[in-house]
Amino acid sequence: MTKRLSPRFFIILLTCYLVVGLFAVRLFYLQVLRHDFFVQKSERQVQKIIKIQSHRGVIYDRNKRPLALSKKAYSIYAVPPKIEDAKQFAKAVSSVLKLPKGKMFKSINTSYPFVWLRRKVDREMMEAVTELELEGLHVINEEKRVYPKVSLGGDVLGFVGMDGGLGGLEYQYDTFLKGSSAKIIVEGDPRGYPIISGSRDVQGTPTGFRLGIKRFEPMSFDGGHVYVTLDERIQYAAEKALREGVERMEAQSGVAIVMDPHSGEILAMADYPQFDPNRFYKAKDKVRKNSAVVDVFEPGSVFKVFLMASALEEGIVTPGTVIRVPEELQLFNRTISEAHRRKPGESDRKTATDILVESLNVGTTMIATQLGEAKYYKYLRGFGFGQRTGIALPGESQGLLRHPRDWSAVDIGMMSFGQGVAVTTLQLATAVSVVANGGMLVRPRIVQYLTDHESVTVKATPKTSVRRVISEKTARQVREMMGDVVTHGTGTPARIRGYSLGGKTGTAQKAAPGGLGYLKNDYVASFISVFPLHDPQVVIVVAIDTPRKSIWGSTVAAPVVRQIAKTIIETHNIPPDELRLP
Amino acid sequence: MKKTQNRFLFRYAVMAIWVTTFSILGLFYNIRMVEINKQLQSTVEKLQVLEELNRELELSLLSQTRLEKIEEKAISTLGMKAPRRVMYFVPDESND
Repeated sequence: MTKRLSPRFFIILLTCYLVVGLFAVRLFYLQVLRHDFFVQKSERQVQKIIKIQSHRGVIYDRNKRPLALSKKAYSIYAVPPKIEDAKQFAKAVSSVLKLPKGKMFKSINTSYPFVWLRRKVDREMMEAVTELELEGLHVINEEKRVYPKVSLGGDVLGFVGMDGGLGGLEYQYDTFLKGSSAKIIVEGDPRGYPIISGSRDVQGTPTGFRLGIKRFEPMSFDGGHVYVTLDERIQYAAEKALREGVERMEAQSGVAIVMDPHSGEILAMADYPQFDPNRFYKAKDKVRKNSAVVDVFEPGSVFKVFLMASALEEGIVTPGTVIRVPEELQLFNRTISEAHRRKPGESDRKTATDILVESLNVGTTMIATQLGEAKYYKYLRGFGFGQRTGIALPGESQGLLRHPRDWSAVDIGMMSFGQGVAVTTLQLATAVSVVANGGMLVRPRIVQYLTDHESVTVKATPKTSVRRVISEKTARQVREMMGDVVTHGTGTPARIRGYSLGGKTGTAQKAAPGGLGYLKNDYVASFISVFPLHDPQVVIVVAIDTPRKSIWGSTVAAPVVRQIAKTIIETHNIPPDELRLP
Repeated sequence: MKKTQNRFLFRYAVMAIWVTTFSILGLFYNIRMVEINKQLQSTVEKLQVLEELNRELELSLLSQTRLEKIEEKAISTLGMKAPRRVMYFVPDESND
């Protein structure tokens, strides 16, 4: 027999149902009717936005030695409206930041909401600032670029200002090196701690990759790394030899390039005077620019190599062709003469090789006239003159090579020995590479490949053969002629015992500003070389601007090439090829 | 009647015990979570400081091993000199 429930129990139960019902109605209102509003509100409360500071990538040399990298730095800023006593603030902060008190007071005595006080300071200074615990004084994390090798390769690497690359590779690859900005939105509790089960939303465009479960996934925002073709040891040797050469000759400046003629890789690119990219602001603009690609000069007699290559290729001469070469030649209104007087009784019958070995202006003029303007121009363009090489460095000049329609009647003669034409040192090195590698024009490269911050290669810069300029036979003949220049011609100061080396000297008057003739006492002494001669592995080009102790390419530039070549013997482990056993 | 009421009360009591237990456990884990998060934050900060120190040491090492400095040390401290004459020894292959 069942008993009826008591009314009191029934009332309690009903009350419970009513309360539960009220809760249900309220929940329906909150969770269904006002759903979107409260979702947004709760998201605002639990979401924490973390700004990802991307790290700038590293620049490595070809042997993976770091040349430029970043370290953590701190920037101090003020929020002037929050500062109570500006005078006291300036007094306290200026002593820690080592800044003039008056200047700081002036900068914070404003209504602007944000003022930089000092950027990119070290940890000690940041900690000292934090200890002040002043209202309106804040610190943010940044990065500072550091060049541990100081001035080594400074002109190629460039430098980084407060907000990005301003020169050299740092400028050229700025976007790649610095990565991209992004933010992660994580769910956290009111104290700001992330909730483990909470969602993570990444906003931004990844520039790098990370190794996922099965494959590489786009993820990283950090900047990538740049691997350059420079070899630290050869770069050091080139810079040292160049500095000594410039100082010995009391010259204004100098440039040296070491290039692999087969791959087009630049192994060294030295420019003196140098600057320290860590303190780039202390160097003048003209020192900070990379003269090897920016500055042009009249090459002088080194240009005879390219005339000879063109003439040999066209069958105008052979290395043994004998030509009667007078000491002077009247070419329209201009008298072409030699730089050195002939010895008494010396024959005027010269072979094409003699013309190059003795660097005879009259001889090259005669050959150029036979070759003709159109063909000579075609070959010069073929060697890459008058156009940018396309190297990944900013500010490259294209030089000056006028079209034959703009040539005067004497220009072909002048250009045969490197006057009336302007080239960069890089163009010269690229053109010499044609002779060294068997006739192909290869594009010079300063960057080997790019990787993301996890060292996954994202882009490689392979060897680019642009075109064939001369045949292998012609290239070999020219190399042999260049070898004679070093063994018994003007290039003997470049000789290295036990090794074969081909070269050509150049001594060119500097053009006066505005194209008004030439400067009487200012010269550019240069030397182009192929080393070792019988199996060329490097091309070395040195140009020294306005030497005072001597002016000749043989005495000014050739010894620098010799010194660089001696280092390359060690770095490339090159065995001697002209061994004389006792 | 009494039996039914007792059954209801028992059920509520069991539910209350469950709720209380889970609340205490939740509270306990929440406290633990806060502690772990604090430790994590402190460890991350220490890691950052160590990473910074490591980078400083790396930079110092790179700076100390500059070829210029090595050459300077070799000449001044070790008294080394650049070779003035290099001799090459070529093995006679016919005697192998």
